[in-house]
Parts: sequence; structure tokens; C-alpha cells
Amino acid sequence: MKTIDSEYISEIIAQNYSHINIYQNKDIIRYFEKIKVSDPQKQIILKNIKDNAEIAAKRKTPLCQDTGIPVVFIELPENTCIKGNLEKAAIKAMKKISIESGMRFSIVKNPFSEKRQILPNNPVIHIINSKRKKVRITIMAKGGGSENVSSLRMMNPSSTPIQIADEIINAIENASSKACPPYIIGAGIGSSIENAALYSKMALSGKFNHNRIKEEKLISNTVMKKSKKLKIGIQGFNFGDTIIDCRVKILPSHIACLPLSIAFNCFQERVRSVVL
Amino acid sequence: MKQISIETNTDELMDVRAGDTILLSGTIYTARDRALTRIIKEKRFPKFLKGKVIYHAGPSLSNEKGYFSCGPTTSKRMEVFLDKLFSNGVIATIGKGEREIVQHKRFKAIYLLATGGCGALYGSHIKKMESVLYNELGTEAVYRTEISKFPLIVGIDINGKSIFNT
Repeated sequence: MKTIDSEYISEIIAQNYSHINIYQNKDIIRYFEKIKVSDPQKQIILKNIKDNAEIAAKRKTPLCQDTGIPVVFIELPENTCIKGNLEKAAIKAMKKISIESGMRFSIVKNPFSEKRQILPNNPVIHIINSKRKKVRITIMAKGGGSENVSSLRMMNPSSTPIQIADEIINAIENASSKACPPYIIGAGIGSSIENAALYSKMALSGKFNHNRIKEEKLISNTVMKKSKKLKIGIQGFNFGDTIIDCRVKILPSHIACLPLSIAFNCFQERVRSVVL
Repeated sequence: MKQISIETNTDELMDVRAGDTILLSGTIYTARDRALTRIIKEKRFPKFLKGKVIYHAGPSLSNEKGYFSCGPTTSKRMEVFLDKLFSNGVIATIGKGEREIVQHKRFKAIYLLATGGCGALYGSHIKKMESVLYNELGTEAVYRTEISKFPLIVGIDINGKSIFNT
């Protein structure tokens, strides 16, 4: 039996959370560099996004003040276990890094309580059994705006892939410009409601298998194609794309049910995987 | 881009038209979900917000060099508070994303768009932030914020003209 120390894992989570919040993903930089516009409003939006990445890296401040809930997927190979109290160690490491590197404490213990207790970016950790030889940790910094437009609904099991794609398009239309488009979509289809939601987040990270089987590709391609007709675009200004990518995962399902979880990410995609 | 200062008066700001790109300087106040929930329940509306601009934002912590991020949050969520804010003299709000025209038109209030996901940029245009109300809310407190050349796009002007087709 191989063991990995929970404090070691926590340190990796914390360091990478800070890193992805400060340094813009190179794919995003390249994406925006390719877009050329003449309209002054659109030009200023592109300039702001470019300047923002430079300022963030130079001043070591987060790209977005919403440094997000840290969503963590730990893929554990067979016969590997985590030593110690991972939750406790992760909270401690997150608190330390958040203060040191100027992240935002966006989580409150009880959202209804008048007396607010602010928590130190407690991470949401999912431990996944894996066929990998080595432990892999995937960290997402997931902002509130894009979380707000995400949703889960129960489809009819007789729904076609095109109907699923249309449902996703509806969700994108409803999100409109509220959550910093262009968006990335993660769709988890089938299984139980919590599993569909989990897999939609895993698909959203782009680090797990998605768009592999025929129907996954069909749904993704249909969403990408139909999204081009939506007049949303970058920051809602109807230029560039509304959707950068649509990542679909289909799961074995109960014959009576077809849950569809649609997870959104904003253009400021903050994700990283580390293999130990 | 037109440079507008609201330090001494707000006349120039009231003249902007939907679609204008501006660089705004002066003193504004942050207020988002929780602070606004409290403000509208207060017996007396905070006097210092009269005639002022509200920025829907909550800053990150400062790093060791004192730098921080403070970009806009989604404006749509704050629509439920607008009647109360505008009827008590708030003249404009800054946020991100689409917003309904109705209340802005009724009260001749302006909506300014900051670019979402650009907290580092907007933080670098803030000279000073000081918590002046509900300090215990942390990032959600009301901060008196001195801004310099905030790059903004006018979303809705005093005539109720909007760049979004809502």
C-alpha cells in the first residue's frame, strides 16, 4: 500500500490555486490575440483583457477578484491511500496561501446568518478511484458568476442528442452576458443527479475524457454550431464566440431517467493538473 | 476615450450616452449583494451615498506589496435593489453584464460597464479603498474607493438608451 501525506497534497492544491488565479492560461491569451475588431467598444474590451493579464502577472494579483471556490479532483490509483486529515490540512493550506498571495475570501459559513462567518476558501475535494499509475490532482478555481448560470434538469429518457443540445443552447441563452462570455460548457448526462453534476464539472475541467463517443461528439458539435447564431459573444458585445468549447460526458443511466447537468465556466478558465 | 472626473461634480457624467467609452476618476462606493440587502433595510438610507456612484464589486485581499484585484460583479443580481438606491439619490452603478432598462429610465440613472474578469486591471486603477460601512462583511463591506481612469463603457444612459437589446 502506497501512502501520500495529506499535507503534501494540500500544499499542491494551495500553490496551484494561487498560480492559476494569477497567471492567465496561454490558450486564452492566444484566443483573444486572434480576434481583430475596429469598433472602439470592442477594442477597449480586448485591451482590458490583455492589460489585465499583464498587470496580474506583474503585480501578482488575481486575474479576477473572484478567486473562486477551489474545486479539486484527486485521482487515486489502486492501493494508494491518503495519510492524515486531508480536509483539515487543505483548509489550513488554503487559508495561508490566500492571505499570502492576496486571494479573496468569498465563502461564508451560513449564507442566511446575519452574523457572517467568513471561511478561508475551503476547497471542495472529490477523491476518484483511478486506473492511473500515479496520483493526479486537478485544481479548478471556480467563480461565482459562472456557477450561477449552471443548472441541472431531468430530461425525458426518450430525448435525442439534438434535444439535449437544444437544452444546453437554452441554458446558454439564459446565461446571456451575465457570467463573462465566451463560455466553456461541461455537460454531464445520465447516471444519478449528483453524479451527472460531478461529471459535468469534470468534463468542464477538460482534464478528463470527454467528447469521445459518437453521441458526445454530436451534442458538442451541435451546441458549438447553434451557439454561433446566439447574439451574445465576448462580454455580451456580440463579437468573437459565445462558446469556446462544449465538453460532453455521457454516463450509464437508469432506464427511467436522464439527468442533464450543465456546468459553465467564464472565459477566465483557471484549471491545472499535477501528476505526483 | 473621454476622461471624466466626478470629484467636484457629476455634470459631465450625466451627459454620457450609451456606447460611449470613458475613463472615470473620482470617489465611488462599492456595494454588492449583502451590503445592499442591509442598506435597503436601514431606517435611514446612508447619506453619504446621495449623488454618488455605486460599484458592484468586492476586492480580493492585498498581497505583500499591497496590490489587490477589484473588478465588477454581475449587475443583474442587484436589480432588486435599484428602486431604493436610485430613489435615494444614487446616480449611477458600475457592474458587468446586461441590465434591465426600466429603473434606470424611471430615475434617469446611468449604468456603466466594466469588463468582467479583469479584477487586476481595475485594482491597479484604485488609489485607495477604505471600509466605511458593514466592515464585518469583509469583501462585501461598503468601501469608499478612489479611482483613477477606470476604463468603462456606458451601458445605459439617462434617457434609458441601452447598448443591450433588453
